[in-house]
Amino acid sequence: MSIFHLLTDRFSKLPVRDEEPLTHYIFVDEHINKTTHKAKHQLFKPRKNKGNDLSTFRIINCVESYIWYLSKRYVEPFSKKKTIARADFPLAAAKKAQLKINPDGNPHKRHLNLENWPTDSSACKLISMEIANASNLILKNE
Amino acid sequence: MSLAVSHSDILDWRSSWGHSITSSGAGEEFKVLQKELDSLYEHLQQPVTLGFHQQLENRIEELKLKYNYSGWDGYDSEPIDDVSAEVAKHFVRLLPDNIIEPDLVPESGGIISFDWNLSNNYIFSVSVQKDEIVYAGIIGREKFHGTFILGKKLNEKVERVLIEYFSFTH
Repeated sequence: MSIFHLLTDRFSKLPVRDEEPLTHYIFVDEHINKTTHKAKHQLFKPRKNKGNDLSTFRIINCVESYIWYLSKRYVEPFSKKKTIARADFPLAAAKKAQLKINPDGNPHKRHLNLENWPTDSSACKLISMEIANASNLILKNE
Repeated sequence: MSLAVSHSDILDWRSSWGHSITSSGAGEEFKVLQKELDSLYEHLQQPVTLGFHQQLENRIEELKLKYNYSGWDGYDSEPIDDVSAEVAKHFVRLLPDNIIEPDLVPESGGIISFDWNLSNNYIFSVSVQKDEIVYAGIIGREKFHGTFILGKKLNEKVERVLIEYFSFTH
């Protein structure tokens, strides 16, 4: 990743668009289906002890190395684990499930929370499945 | 001495002349051989799925040992504890025979999920929690979800989905 990219990430001025991609980082093998080469839907379950949200990053106009940098710099310090992969999915998949799109910009201007998940855990499970179906798995090459 | 025999060989042997050897006063070697074959025969009479169920219980133990601490998924997940593991094992014992072996996946709530995944359009998942069972599925164009209390029998809807879409007989 170049210094140029770091200095020129003027992303925050862009409005949220349906077609833009989001990513959610993966830290354990069990969330990767090696047969289908997809992320498992359990990855996309909202975290109840985190306000029932799903934390994502907006990766529009990002080069690969910058996407991994976002995890290393802003997620790994809290997860205390190494990122092994990520699942990219269109924001439209979350909108279709009527989740609230909150581009909170914290801890980074590209951070976006998916909120307002149903209180019924089985309905959450179905939404997670649909997001997983819409996602693409990208393994991190060390 | 080694002897290569198939499952059907043993069943044929047993049904045709296996019983007659003992009564006809065969030699010691034959008696030993028959004892071994009887033992093998008993084993072959066991449902094949016993192994499948036991494998799932072993896998639950593995997951419990591997993820018995908070934050195992990198996102403040809860540990998989003894209670979660026991409830999951109870669920395993209720699973019907002849179904496709599920993939066991740990969830952030410290629980274990049973997944049957044939394609994006044939997915069924059951999460086994302490107080309730949560399920959801996508079968073709049909999407459904629900909860039930785990008892001594499997929920009718869950059993129907498993037998209809994820069994070897359909």
